[in-house]
Amino acid sequence: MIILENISKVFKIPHERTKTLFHKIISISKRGYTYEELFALKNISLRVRQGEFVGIIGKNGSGKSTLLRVIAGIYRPSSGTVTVNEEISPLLELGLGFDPSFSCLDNIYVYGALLGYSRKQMAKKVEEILAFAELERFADAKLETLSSGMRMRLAFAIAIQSVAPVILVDEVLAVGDKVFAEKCRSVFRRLKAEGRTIIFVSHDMGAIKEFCDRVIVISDGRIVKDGDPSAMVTFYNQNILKIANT
Amino acid sequence: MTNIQTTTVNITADNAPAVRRTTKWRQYYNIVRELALVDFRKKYHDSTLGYFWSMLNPLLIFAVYHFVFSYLFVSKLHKFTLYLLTGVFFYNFFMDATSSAIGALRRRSRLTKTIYFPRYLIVFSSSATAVFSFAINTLLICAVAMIFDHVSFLQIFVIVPFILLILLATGIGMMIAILFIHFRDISDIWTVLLTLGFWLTPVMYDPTYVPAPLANVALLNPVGRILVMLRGFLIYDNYPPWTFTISTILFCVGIFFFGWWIFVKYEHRIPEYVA
Repeated sequence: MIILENISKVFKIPHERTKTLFHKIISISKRGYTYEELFALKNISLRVRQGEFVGIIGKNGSGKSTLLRVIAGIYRPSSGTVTVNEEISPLLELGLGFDPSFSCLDNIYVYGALLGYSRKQMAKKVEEILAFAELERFADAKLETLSSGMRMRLAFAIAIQSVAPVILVDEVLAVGDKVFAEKCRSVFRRLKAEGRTIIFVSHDMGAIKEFCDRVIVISDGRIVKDGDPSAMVTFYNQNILKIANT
Repeated sequence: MTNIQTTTVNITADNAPAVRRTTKWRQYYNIVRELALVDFRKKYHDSTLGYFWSMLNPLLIFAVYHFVFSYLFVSKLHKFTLYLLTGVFFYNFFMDATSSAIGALRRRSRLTKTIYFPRYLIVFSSSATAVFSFAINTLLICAVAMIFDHVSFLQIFVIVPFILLILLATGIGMMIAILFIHFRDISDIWTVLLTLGFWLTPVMYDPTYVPAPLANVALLNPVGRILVMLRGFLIYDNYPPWTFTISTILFCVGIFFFGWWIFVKYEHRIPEYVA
């Protein structure tokens, strides 16, 4: 069960280009420290039941990723309460915060530790991960030498090792070819069958309709509509231009 | 009102994969170890001599200082080579551990955006990477002292200043890393402070032979106190007064926990401001 009550998130974007001690002293003496407030989330309340597969759709910059990060405990909300009584997987997104100057294997082991596995347990999983990512031959290659599609495959293969009951997915079907996309879909089907709670951010309306039990439309940091997937997708497609200006 | 309640419970779904994972503290230890290991490997990865550098580097430093102070500037200080080596290696570790904390935070900031884990583990791991070479260096000086000088029971206590310096450096590392969130020039400022600190610390001189104000600073400075302790145990076969030892221990442990506390207080800002 995930409960969000009146969540708001404000980012302070300073007018100064750099944030140095020197600048701070100068700006205090001259005109004070000024910043722009960006309301990424505005008073969001949301309940997600255990085992629900919830889709979130909305334009770029509407607050989808911020919402996932607030749920994951990565961002602290400016106001409101987040109650999550289950373990949460890493935010599955492009790149997964890998260090590009490390090899695939190094990144796998670091992530394994973050997911709570011992080195021994990870050693048994390495082959499976590399096979799923189709990167057996590049285990020792530095990540920066791999293509973005390869990196995404590795990220996906590692993140699904998480046994956390709550899984957050941020737009992963965008890269990767058809074969890999099909692999991802079969993983989503498996996760769903296992009864995991999944929050799924995507622009892929086909996938949204295929998997989600419920879809939330977000615009400008607010929940615009919440309901049945196909109805929400239709609503979103019809109003995509209009809701941008509300 | 901000209130985040996150309690971890076991998987409740009936058919979720049953994998027994490690306990929380075990997991934190694993994270620190993996992060420290990849950094250590990376540090020596591109060099031909590889890990051998971590041994060779202190030996070369030793050779240079030995040459300079045996032939160029002859010091009257008793057992000067050992005196200098202890100072150089301990101060080097202090520099390395504190300044690598900022770099580590910057490099790992992308990771903090995708998964929650206690952020202080990043600083712990950068300290741990520095401890690898520090431990080798310390063993090396101990070996030099025991082979070329003397062997005594007190040398066992070298472990005390060794641990104190790790605590002190990690504590200060956490403080400057958290300052880095809002003050990006802290790394430049810290580099200057470290250079100043080098001369305010009895690395190359004996505090009893320098003018009073400098001597006072040198003996108030925690790294200086750690060095006095270390040299007593390792070289001069004596130990400092108990009040001196206890106050130094309390200060280093205090700095460590204060740094930890202040870091935990502000660590939620890291994914937002650094990445």
